Amino acid sequence: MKLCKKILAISLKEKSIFRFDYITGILFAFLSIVLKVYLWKGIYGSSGKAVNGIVLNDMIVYSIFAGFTEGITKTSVMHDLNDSVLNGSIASDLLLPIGLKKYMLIRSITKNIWGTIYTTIPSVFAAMLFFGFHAEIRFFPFLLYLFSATMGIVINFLYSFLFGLSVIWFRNSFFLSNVNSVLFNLFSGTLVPLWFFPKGLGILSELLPFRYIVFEPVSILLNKKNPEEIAAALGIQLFWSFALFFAVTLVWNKGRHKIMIQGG
Amino acid sequence: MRTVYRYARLTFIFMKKTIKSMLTYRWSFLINCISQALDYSVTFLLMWIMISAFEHMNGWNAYEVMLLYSFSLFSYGIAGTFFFQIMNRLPAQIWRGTFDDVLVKPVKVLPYLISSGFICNYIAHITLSAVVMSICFRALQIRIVLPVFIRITGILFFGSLIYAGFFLIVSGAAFLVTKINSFFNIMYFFREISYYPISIFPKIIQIIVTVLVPYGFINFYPLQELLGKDDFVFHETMAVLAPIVSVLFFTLACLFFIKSSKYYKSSGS
Repeated sequence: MKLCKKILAISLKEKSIFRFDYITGILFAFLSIVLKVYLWKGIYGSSGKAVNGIVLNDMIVYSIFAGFTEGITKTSVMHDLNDSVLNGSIASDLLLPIGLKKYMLIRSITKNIWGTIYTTIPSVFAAMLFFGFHAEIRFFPFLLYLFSATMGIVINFLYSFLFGLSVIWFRNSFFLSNVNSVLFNLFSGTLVPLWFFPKGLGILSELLPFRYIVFEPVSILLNKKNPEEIAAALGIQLFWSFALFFAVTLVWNKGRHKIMIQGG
Repeated sequence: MRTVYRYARLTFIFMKKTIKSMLTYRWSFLINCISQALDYSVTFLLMWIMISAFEHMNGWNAYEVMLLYSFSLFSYGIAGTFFFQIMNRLPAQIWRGTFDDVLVKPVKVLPYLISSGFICNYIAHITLSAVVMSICFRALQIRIVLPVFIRITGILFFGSLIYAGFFLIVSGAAFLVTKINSFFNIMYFFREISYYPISIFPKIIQIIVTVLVPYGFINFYPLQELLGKDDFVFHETMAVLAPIVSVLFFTLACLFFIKSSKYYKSSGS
């Protein structure tokens, strides 16, 4: 607890030193929500009807909560792994008393906690006040959302770690983080919810883990799923978490002996 | 005239050097291009999914909105080819004091930076947007006869000038402030607005992207006229102003860059 307080105080101090950057960071996080909301308003404004049972208010609420969920589930572990192998800093990371996987997970979660406290929450709160939208959030779906979003964090981390490990064989796998961002943007439902996807792409999204990171948790929160669908979504999230965990363990055990330390 | 020839030659020499270095690391370059093209293709695809589900966006169908995006992307690619590196390199050159190297060369600062800043990385942006443009024109049954081709070339040229102006303003700001991240964010935020018909946004944003950061003149106003759309924001003749606005904006951006470069203090060691 003492350590947490200390970290919070240091982090606050750091933000106050670069306050202009911090304020503009919040401002642009807020403006990106504004942009999404006006886009949906522009689209709905012209037709004025519900599409696939989704009305404008649902879309605004979805955009805001999808932005929030993306903020808490994101991870830069693929990029970090690539950098640490390229500059050789993985050598010191491997000497840490906790394993590399655990260390990377803690680092990623800590980054997200601060990002959520300092940037995501203020910008989402400002957007809620600005648009004054109506969101009916019940206690039980909220609990399920927390559980589902936590699994979203685990899935995204393990997936990114698994593909990040390819740096051991490729020496530089910068392109994989680009490919990953392409797949994430398309199938996570952050930019366009999967309700509007054509059938083929919808089926493809069910075979990949990305929709279980953002789209499914937010759909649960907004009561867009019946109990059977919620159970199925949570079950698939559990499946992905275990499958990715085993894959990561297997690949890491094979690859850790092949790491070539570069840099110096 | 001799000065123009001198810098054109210098640009040509740097182009040759950049292409040679690109060919040395050809796989890395190719993979980078493919991943960038994939990234933008997904944006096109999402745009198409989003608008197709609703049929249109304030009277603009999916192909017309994709055309807006591809014009913006093409212009960005052309401007980025010559100006991105200035914005990318300058802050570090100023912190480290290595901008001195540029000042001691027997050349004018801005023309030299433009000549030496050539990069090939935007080939993916340009190719992809050209492909999307041709698909959209075909779907919209617009035949590319000579007058239409000249108009399209004009729109892209003047759009590139506006983007080049933005690159120069953000680069010039590096001489005045320590961090240019905020300027960078402003540029990219409003760039995202230019991907859609600006008539869907509130009046305040329409004024900003017309007067303060003239993104509207890159694609929206010229294409509104070309496609015969009637969602006029201010006046129906705004498209006519695009060439004047872009030349004026680029000139002001150059002056800003030159003026702010006078504030450079060699801070490195």
